[in-house]
Amino acid sequence: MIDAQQALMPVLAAGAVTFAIRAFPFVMSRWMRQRAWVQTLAEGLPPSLMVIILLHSAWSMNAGRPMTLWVEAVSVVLALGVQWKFKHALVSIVSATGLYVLLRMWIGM
Amino acid sequence: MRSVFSASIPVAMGYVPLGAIFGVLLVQAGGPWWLALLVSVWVYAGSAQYALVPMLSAGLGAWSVAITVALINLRHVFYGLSLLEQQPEQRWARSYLMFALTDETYSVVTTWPKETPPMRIVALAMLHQGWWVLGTLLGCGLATLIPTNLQGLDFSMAALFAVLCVEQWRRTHQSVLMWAAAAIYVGCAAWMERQVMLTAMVLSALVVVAWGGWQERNRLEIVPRQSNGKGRS
Repeated sequence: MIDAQQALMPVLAAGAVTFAIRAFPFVMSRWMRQRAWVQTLAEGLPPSLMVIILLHSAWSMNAGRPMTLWVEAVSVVLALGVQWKFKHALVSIVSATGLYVLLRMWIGM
Repeated sequence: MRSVFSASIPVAMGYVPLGAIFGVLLVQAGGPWWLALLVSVWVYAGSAQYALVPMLSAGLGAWSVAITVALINLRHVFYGLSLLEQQPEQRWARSYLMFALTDETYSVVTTWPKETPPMRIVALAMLHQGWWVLGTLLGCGLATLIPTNLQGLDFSMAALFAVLCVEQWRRTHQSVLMWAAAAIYVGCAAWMERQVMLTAMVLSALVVVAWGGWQERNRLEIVPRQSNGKGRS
């Protein structure tokens, strides 16, 4: 449950840091071009972070039900497989979410 | 202006449904519609916005959220480098362009000729954000129509991240880094009770830098060997 009052500061911080990152190259263009590790992070970090966010969101959904972790695992694998095969985000999301809802209803959440 | 609108339509086809999913998720997580609108207007960053939902639900503080969002959006650091010569003269327009430089806007703008008027780029960026905000508002409206007994619909967020993982792999082919990130997250989840995601992200960032350095050293070692071989033959 999101507490709107409590969420305000994190949201403002998220916007400020996003703007700062996007504005950074305009301010520091010369310095940026000379740092190899910044380039390395920009290339390698997004796929790593996406895996972590995926696992975290699936793990969070399972909170308190470790015996039924297979439900999240199967649904994630379906989303990965459908996207891999058909390259259609909406089909992947709808099919995996549909399977997840059905499995959760079947085993009684 | 009509051509700018036409150029925004392909992005709208993705932004409206994805913005709607964000609106649904945030409202279903217990947030008010105006908070979803505020996030889409003020933050305006796809993946980071989706990541915000579980973070706000968990009641994470501003620093934890800021660091996580910074790590997610780090790739945006490079987008501005391609547009240094196309900055608008007006300060407000220049600031807005920096703010609204998403993956999609960057992708479209970099296909345009260098002579494109900067205000045309700004107009496109505004249209793109307009589509995203429209989607968010639609999602907020839909969230109240979806029956509450259909629990598990918020799995669509995990499914979306699965989609983005596949697309990231297609783009980068960074299998080693993705498997390493998975192993790090599982390790953190097994050993830690709090700050699992942030710790895993920081450790992954260190692995990415180390991996990049290792690859660079290998490349430098291979080049002299090859040149020595050529010299002997």
